[in-house]
Amino acid sequence: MSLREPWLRRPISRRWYCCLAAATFVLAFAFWSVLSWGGLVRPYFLPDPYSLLLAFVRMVTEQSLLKDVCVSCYRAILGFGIAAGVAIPLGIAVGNIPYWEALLGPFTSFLRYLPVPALVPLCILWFGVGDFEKLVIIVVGVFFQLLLMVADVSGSVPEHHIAVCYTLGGSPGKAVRDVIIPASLPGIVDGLRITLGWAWAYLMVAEVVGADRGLGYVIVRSQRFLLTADVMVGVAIFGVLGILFDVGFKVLSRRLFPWQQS
Amino acid sequence: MSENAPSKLGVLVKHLQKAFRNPDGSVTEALEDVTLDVPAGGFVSVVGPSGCGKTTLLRLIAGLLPPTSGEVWVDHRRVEGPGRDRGMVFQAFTLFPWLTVYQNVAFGCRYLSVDPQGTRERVHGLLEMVGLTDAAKLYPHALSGGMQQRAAIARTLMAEPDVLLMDEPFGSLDTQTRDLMQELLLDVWSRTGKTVLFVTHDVEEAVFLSDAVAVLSARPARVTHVQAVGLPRPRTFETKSVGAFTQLRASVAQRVRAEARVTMA
Repeated sequence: MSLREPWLRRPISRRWYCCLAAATFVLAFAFWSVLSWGGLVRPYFLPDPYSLLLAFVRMVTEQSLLKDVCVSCYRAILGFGIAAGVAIPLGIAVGNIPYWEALLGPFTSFLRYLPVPALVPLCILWFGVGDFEKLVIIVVGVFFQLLLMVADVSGSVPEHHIAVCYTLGGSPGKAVRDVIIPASLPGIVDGLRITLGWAWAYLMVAEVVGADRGLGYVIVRSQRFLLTADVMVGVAIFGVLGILFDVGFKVLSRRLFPWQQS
Repeated sequence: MSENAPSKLGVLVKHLQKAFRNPDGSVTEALEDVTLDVPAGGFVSVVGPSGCGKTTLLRLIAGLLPPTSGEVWVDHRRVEGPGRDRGMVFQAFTLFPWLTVYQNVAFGCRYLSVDPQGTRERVHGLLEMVGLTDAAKLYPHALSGGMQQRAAIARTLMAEPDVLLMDEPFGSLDTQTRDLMQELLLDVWSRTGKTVLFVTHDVEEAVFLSDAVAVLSARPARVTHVQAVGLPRPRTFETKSVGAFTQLRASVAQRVRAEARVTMA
């Protein structure tokens, strides 16, 4: 008998990896095909793949689907940008200046447990159903989480890195600029990647409840008319955009921080 | 040996005392009363039992901690905070992981007004001095511990300090690397003429490197003895087997051991 590595964490070849990964997709697609084309489930519960494709083409050509997608992207990115723009500097302050930690840390820890979807009715009451309400939902959903993530990452930059900066003649402000920010940048970008996913999800919640444009609106409208294929197209686009953002951040991270791989 | 003008004073530590207040309200006395004189261009080591406050002493001199009482003078100036005149090399590997070796060393003069051309020349000069010319473009994670500490020394020298404070810089290295690093440090010291205060728990290292070795008591620390080391320079690896060296090492080790026993009791 030849010598074998224990099966736990034993690496597999690149080829095997690709085969297995593809197999899951193929299997899921096959399962779907059998259920729909095989007539096991009625079309208005589960349309077949071809109907889905037709629905997609019709929605793009006749119903300005791309415009709705753009509206959703605009809301998500703007809301997320506002939240990140404030949360990152504040997070660095909370993570490194005890006054700020005392002022904002406990309060933020409390606020971030507010269930964001439960805030939708209140936000509609206060701000109506326009873009502003969507932005408020996203900002509230992302801001507090991101602030605490940034505080945690920037607060755990090793003390000795800061001490080095001081002994080379740096001031606390320069230590923030030259040590704390570059050291915590990968962690911050990772926090952005995670919270962008949440921003996207919260936007869908807001759009499903009250909107006259956007991907979430397309989904509910289609559901009202029992256009199941259209609903599924909307959900699929949502998923694809989500994964594109995620991969984009990962690639960006690898490009920006080549020193991270060890 | 020293390029310093004779008027320079080196480091003067006067009746330094440091107590820490613990979160539970109790007080830990780290330094009781430390007085120490490191002449300009000299090399003095501080040894003592583990946990005796060696690192605290160095951080006080660096200005990273405020003393409870007493004062530190570096070349006619009273220490009131961290400053570029006292460069520090730490035991932990402190190269910035997001910068290459070259960029790390160049960071040393970030807060000095040096023109880019001058910076480039000095970085290359220092990298050559510590034998890292070929590693200039690597990131720290690709370096061995010895290489990281050599780069850290070069970065510290880049800021043109008067004094080098070294906190067990070779403490995390293996024995062979450590021997080589000691010789490299002596070489760097003789070329730059910096005043060096070197903290270690390794008596052999202290005796090998220094003009004088100060022995600290168990916590709270006092200087119990200052042992002059009159061994001729330049010292090499062979110095460590000379009779005079082994006698000095044994005598200092005996004193440290006596203090360590106090801690154990």
